[in-house]
Amino acid sequence: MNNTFIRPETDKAWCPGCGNFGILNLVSEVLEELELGKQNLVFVSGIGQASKTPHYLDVNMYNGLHGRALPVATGIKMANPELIVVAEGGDGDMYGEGGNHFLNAVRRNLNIVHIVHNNMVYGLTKGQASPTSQREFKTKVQVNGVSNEPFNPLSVALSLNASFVARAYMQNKEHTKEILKAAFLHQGYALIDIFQPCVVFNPVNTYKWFSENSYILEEHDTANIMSAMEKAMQTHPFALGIFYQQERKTFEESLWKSEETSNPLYTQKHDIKEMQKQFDKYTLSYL
Amino acid sequence: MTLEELSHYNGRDGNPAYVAYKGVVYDLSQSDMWKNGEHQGEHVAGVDLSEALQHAPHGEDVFKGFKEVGKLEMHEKKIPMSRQELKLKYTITSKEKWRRWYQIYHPHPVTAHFPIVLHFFAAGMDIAFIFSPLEKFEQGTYYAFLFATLFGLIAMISGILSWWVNYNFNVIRPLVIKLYTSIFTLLLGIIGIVLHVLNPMIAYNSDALALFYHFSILITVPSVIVLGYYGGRLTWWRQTKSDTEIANHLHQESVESKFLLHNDFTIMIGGSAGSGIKTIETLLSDVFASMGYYVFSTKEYMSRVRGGSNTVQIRVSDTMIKAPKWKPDLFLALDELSVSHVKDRIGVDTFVIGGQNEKFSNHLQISLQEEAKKHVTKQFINTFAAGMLFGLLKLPLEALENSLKKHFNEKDHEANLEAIRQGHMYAQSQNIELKKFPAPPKKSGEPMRYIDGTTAAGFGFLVGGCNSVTSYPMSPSTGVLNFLAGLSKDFEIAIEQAEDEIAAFNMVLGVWYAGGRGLTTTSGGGFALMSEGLSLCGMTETPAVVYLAQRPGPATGLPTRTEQGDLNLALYAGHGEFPRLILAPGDALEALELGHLAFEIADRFQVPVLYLSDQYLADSVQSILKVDFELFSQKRYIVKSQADYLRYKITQSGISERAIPGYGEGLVCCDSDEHDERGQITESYKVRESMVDKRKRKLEQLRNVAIAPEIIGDGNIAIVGWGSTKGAISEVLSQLDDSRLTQVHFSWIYPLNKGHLSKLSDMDFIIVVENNSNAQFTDLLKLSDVKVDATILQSNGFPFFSDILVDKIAQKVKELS
Ligand code: SF4
Repeated sequence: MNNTFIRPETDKAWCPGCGNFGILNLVSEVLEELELGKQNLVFVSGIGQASKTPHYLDVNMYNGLHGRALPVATGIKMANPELIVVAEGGDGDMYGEGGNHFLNAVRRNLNIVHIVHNNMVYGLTKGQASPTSQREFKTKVQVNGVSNEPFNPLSVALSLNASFVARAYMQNKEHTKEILKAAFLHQGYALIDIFQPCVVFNPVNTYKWFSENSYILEEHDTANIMSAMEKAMQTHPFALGIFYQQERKTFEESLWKSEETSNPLYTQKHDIKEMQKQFDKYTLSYL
Repeated sequence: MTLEELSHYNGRDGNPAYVAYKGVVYDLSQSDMWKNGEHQGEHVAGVDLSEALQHAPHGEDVFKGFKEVGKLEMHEKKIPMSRQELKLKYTITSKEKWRRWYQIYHPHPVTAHFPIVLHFFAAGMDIAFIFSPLEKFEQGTYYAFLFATLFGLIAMISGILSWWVNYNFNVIRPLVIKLYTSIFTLLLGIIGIVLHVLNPMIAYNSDALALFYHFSILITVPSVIVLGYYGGRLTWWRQTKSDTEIANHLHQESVESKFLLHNDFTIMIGGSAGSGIKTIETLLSDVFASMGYYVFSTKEYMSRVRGGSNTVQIRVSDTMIKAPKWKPDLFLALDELSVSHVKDRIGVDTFVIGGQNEKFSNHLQISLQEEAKKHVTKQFINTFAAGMLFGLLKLPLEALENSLKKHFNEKDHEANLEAIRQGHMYAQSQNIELKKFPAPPKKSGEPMRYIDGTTAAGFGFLVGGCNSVTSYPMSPSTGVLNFLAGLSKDFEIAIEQAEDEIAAFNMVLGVWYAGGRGLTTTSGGGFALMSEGLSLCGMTETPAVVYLAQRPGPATGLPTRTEQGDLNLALYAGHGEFPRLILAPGDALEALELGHLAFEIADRFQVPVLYLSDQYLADSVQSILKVDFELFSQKRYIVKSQADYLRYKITQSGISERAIPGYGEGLVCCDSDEHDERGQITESYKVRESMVDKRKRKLEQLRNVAIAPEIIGDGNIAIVGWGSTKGAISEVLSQLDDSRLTQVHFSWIYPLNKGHLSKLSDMDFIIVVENNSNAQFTDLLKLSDVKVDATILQSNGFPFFSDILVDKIAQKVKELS
């Protein structure tokens, strides 16, 4: 399919067979099907294999530092609330290096789509444990196997009252696209954790493993945070789908109290006369 | 609608008359005041009048009742469309400099007055001659007319220049009338003079030529009236000065107060935190300013919210002073602890009030708390002390009462006023002689203003267009965050408290990337966390401004005290190589001025700007002149992107046009990886080389626009300082009154301009004064081949005190020469 959201003339740095290809295609198809305007779409990413996805999409991009996509996305929403902002990266990037930013993006209810490719391993640094690596997973560094409790992004987000929490597996194409679309249409912070096999450095969590260890949520009340939490805490098999969705006041709605002042900052200039007045007020307080 | 499109609606040839104001386009075709697309002969339709309306006798309400026909596309007029235009915009040509000079000093009104007066004089003489044909009247007429015509020619030339400078030769009615009338006047003048040269006796004749001669002299009077009338009606735009010019202009103002010896009285008050020491500081600064004095105040406090022992120092002077003293003239101890805390700072001449456990040579050995309790209650010790102070200094109580009324809630007035009076009475009963209090300076008509370094910086950022602050609180930088957050209801400023400094800085980048003007505020430890982001800023060429208020490190160091110890951190923070700008204001005025400059440069050169203040400058209060905010340029450098937009287009200057997402057809891609012109990741060594070069060229551009150090005096021994040492050094030099000494103050710290440093190499000796122990700025000077002969360093957490620094400088000068 000729997708206008795939950037021409790019040399993809991923290994053949990597799950990232699938996610790239799904995301570009969703953008196409939602008929979004490229100019108003910004993808922000950090560093890692997954963070390269925006390079291959024909959209505005700010590819920043490892773990730091979310603060950049926050700044973008502050300056121009009209932009549709997507933060995309891997589990190491978003949950490890950027863990604190993750917590705070959820707390802010930053109005963005947050896509996390979760392959349970560090690919770009060649095979160390990631925050989501399962226990006993052996690597060159974790020679006796991972002993840390795997990071559970869904339950963490839910505990912070995230307004949209979902998990998908990229092989379930239509299901993943459905969730992505719902995330784009959601007002407020939307987390989609996407299972993505790394064919080179993760011999445990393979395509087969993910298929066998996941199931699609059915008859689940997405408005009930307690049952969402319950589902999120269950692992092996992992549930897939939208766990929880409840819109609430977004970051930019709280930032700009009134409608008229939520214009993009680049269209604004301060009133010099008001400044002169304030200066008098501050420097002549005795008058 | 773009400006281009708007220009077609000029009200002529059957076109409707549209004008734009603040982004909205109005249809004024139906207005009686806008016949034929002209208004008052001064303005034409088809243009943006936002700026002109500020000079108009009426406000924007005049647009009420007219139809809005569209929106003017923002920034359109600011977008340079080609490389050529871009270059023009960025480089001030000598022509442009001259043009600015001309606009500021605008000689035309002056040159025009001469010929007008002379023409009147000539006509008067001629009338006198007609009634009584005396030779002296004839001669007077002719020479007045001759000079009137000659000066008229000069006025005409200056008028044409003004037409070009102010109106770009735009054809508007008054100017056309002026042009024709002046040509007419000039022709008459030439004819009259030629007639007289051909026949010197022509005035006595009564033939046609003679009549024409008299006619030419008399008729020029109404024509110069027309000229003057239309001249007076024109608005000569006052051009916004360029930043560097503002800097120089403001510097000149401060130069005047340099080397003027001052008389001052230094009061210090000690007490525990939370004891109301702050109240007394505000009250006293305020009352002395209201009495017309220059005030300077600084505080020194412990890192705790309650208790401990803190001091404030208030200096009252008849000229501008901007430095603290170690030994005050008067010390007022609110409690016993404060006496032992400042014991070392009591000089032989210091008068101490309060404290019973110590004995000083000039001492009123009482317990202020006990006295307050006796006369009012302990709770009013502050106002009691203030009243006492006024009693001792024999100052009018009325001024103090007025200030008090303004600062206290109405319900507290009575009790506090009583406390003041009691304190005053008590002091008078003591019969104490203090050092003479200075007489107030001559009234200038302008009321005295005062400001602290934090607020001054805040106003600077505000006039620089700052519209977002993302910070993690850290002393002593938080004041600016608080100040701008406080103003965020009056101005559009997006404020967010970040989870950490890493996030704070990355947010700044997001803000600028999407078209805002972001600031983050921090101190050394927080800035260390921003290093990584600073490097990203350099790579992605995203503008950023950091307000870095220094405090002594390493690590937590002395959180509430001062030092200039983070220059090296600012210079070298961030991995890899990329251009940056470091500024460090020396006083409140510079703090404001450089705040604006920081945003201007960040935007224009797409570099991080690190603004170095310190606890001392941030927290001290000093007098400031009235600042005219209209003088600060309000340029914006965002372009509307075309479909084939390239974020990192290679240019000669190294600066690529900066577009933002959502404005224009193009896509804006920024990459922390090495990237090609599109912003796409690359590993090509050729692209790498060209991008490294491009970024480096920006550093050279920055060097070229550097602000020269301020040089005061013309001696051959340079006392060099940077940032907040400015006031102390200048007070010392005025005290030493040694013509060999010259103050050289740097506020533009990096990158240094070699040309500016050449002045230093002409010096016999160079002494650098720095508030750190490693002579960090000295090292930077040495890197630029400046030979430094001696340094005066300090790192005890205090600012430089003028009465200590004076000995140190005198000592060094003696050693060297
Ligand atoms: S290392 Fe793994 S995650 Fe990275 S590109 Fe290769 S397969 Fe994909």
